[in-house]
Amino acid sequence: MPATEKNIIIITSDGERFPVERKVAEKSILIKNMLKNLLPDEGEEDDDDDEDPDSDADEPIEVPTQNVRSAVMKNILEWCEHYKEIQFPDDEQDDESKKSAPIDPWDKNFLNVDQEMLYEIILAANYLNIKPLLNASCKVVAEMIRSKSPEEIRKTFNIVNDFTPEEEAAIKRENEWAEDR
Amino acid sequence: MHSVKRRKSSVNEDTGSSSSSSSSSITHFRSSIKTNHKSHIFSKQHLNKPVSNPFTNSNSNSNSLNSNSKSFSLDKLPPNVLDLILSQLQTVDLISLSETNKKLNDLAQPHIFNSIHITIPTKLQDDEEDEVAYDENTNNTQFIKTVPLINLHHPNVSIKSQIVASSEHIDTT
Repeated sequence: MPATEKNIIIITSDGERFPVERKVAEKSILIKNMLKNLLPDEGEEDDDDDEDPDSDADEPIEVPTQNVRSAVMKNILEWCEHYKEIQFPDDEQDDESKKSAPIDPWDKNFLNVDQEMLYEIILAANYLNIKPLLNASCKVVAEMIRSKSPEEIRKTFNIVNDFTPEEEAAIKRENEWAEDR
Repeated sequence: MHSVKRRKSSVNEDTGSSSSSSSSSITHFRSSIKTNHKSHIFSKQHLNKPVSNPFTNSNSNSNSLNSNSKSFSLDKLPPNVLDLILSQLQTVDLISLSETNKKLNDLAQPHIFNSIHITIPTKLQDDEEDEVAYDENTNNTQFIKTVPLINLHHPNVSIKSQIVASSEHIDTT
């Protein structure tokens, strides 16, 4: 089996094991960098095989992800599987055009989950360093904020108002000039 | 078999997840699994017996992502994530968000300054980019100058007074 198709076993915080293709696992830059040190590229592997015929290079590689539970990992891997043939640049976060692009309809549908799951997908995408997924999920949260009043935003996202009445009044006064009132 | 290990301390810093854990959050966590109807594309691994893992014990997962179900709050997201979210918002939404609490107000301020440009009728220098605007009140077409507000920002002076001060220094004749 070529190195690129070698099975990677992702182990979640609750102990579930997810065998995936390397190209699926490598949608996570965190995992990609981990594997880079363990697995040689295809060309390099041929050299290694010549040198060490008893190499255990064909054995699956376990990658524990102690911060992601299985329910979240299923969703993350569904996204990675969907985009496994797409090459995203590692520095997509810095691409301004991608930032302002509308959210992909497939991503929008994929991220149509309850708020807790969306929150966990965001944290997992951030932890696993999957920038396109992180960008898409942040766009969904931004959509949820749009056209809402401060009170509605607090209610939607469980934000505690820690302003004193004086501070709140001062901030409202400060912002009045920019609002369409 | 290879095994990839990583430092536990950096894991917690990366996620910024809540460290609190309660019986109510565990109940909520379980219910959120039940209500998640997304199909599992890797059905094969359901047959595999889960390995022993300290996080299997739901009382011991205080620093993992799976402890936050009940305590979702936008302002608890890591700052880099919040920055990404804020970069998607228009000025009016940034202002609404900035009025929700102190942390979000602090995070939103640079984005507000970045998002606002003021437009002032002015004489242009030769090397300046110009735009032509139509003024409905005067039925006139005039050259305008767009000034990024970020250039005006001074932390201890209000936005309004900075704009007033700035416009006084721009030749509008």
